[in-house]
Amino acid sequence: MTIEFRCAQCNRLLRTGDDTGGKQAKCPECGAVTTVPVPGAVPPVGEAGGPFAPGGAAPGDAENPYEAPRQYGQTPQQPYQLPKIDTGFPPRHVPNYLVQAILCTCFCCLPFGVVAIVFAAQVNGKLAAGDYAGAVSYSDSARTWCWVSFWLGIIPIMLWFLMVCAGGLAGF
Amino acid sequence: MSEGIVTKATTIPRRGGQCFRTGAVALLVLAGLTAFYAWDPAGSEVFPPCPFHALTGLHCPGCGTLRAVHQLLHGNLGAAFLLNPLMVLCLPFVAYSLLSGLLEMAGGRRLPTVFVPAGWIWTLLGVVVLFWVLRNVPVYPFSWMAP
Repeated sequence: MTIEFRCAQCNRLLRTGDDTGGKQAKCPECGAVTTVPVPGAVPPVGEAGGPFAPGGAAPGDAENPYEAPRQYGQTPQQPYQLPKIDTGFPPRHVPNYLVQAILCTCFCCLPFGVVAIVFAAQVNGKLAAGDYAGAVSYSDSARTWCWVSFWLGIIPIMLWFLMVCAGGLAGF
Repeated sequence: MSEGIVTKATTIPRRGGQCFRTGAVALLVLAGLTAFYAWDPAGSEVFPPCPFHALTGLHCPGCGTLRAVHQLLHGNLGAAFLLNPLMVLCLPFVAYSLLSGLLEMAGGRRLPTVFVPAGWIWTLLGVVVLFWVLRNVPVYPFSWMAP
């Protein structure tokens, strides 16, 4: 088995050997050095709306699903394995779904896109303050509200087209 | 666990499905643009009305977007701006992100990520809410915002 992760700089999907968790890996594309995540340690975040590694085993499933829980009360041996890269950017990309929120506001006609914009602002606020966990939590909220907005926008449109079709058929 | 040792990572080859998905999304976007180029939603019976407008009689921040897209595709930037200034102003950002997303889906590199400071997003929020309110004011300095 291998470990799959994304380069912190160019976001390309990378693969290293099983025993490289926690080590530094160099991306063959852009040359940036990323810390290889430890499988099962932290569920990866930052993939915009999809599993971490498409088609591959997500770290921490299958093998030992019960290994991950952080030992509360103890100092964890390996805390969050954040890629150590000095780019001035947050360690991993935390999506704020701002684009989706704007699209929902402009196309879905209901106030929920605005809620998503509020969460998008909070994601970037937390990131700027260095509160990574907080940013991830707001990121999840932003995604949820984008979907709420999307479905509440799309369902009336679907119903409308159904009615138009029904009306068209009734005309014959 | 020896820190400092740099392991050589290998890139994961892109899968056929990935290219297919990118193609499908790109095709969908193109089909949508073609549809909006061909049909003007203004005065069309088929295009859906805004549910918010239908329910309340008020204009939402998105009212006029579809008509504005039609005008934009015909090069009438001014007409599009009058129908929905918010959408036109947000368009460069949305287009950039869409392009970046498509490139990534195709297995390539993303375009450089733009980190929008939180203050700007709060400002955008204020603008959206203000725009929502003002475009419903049927008095001269604001009435042009209604679609």
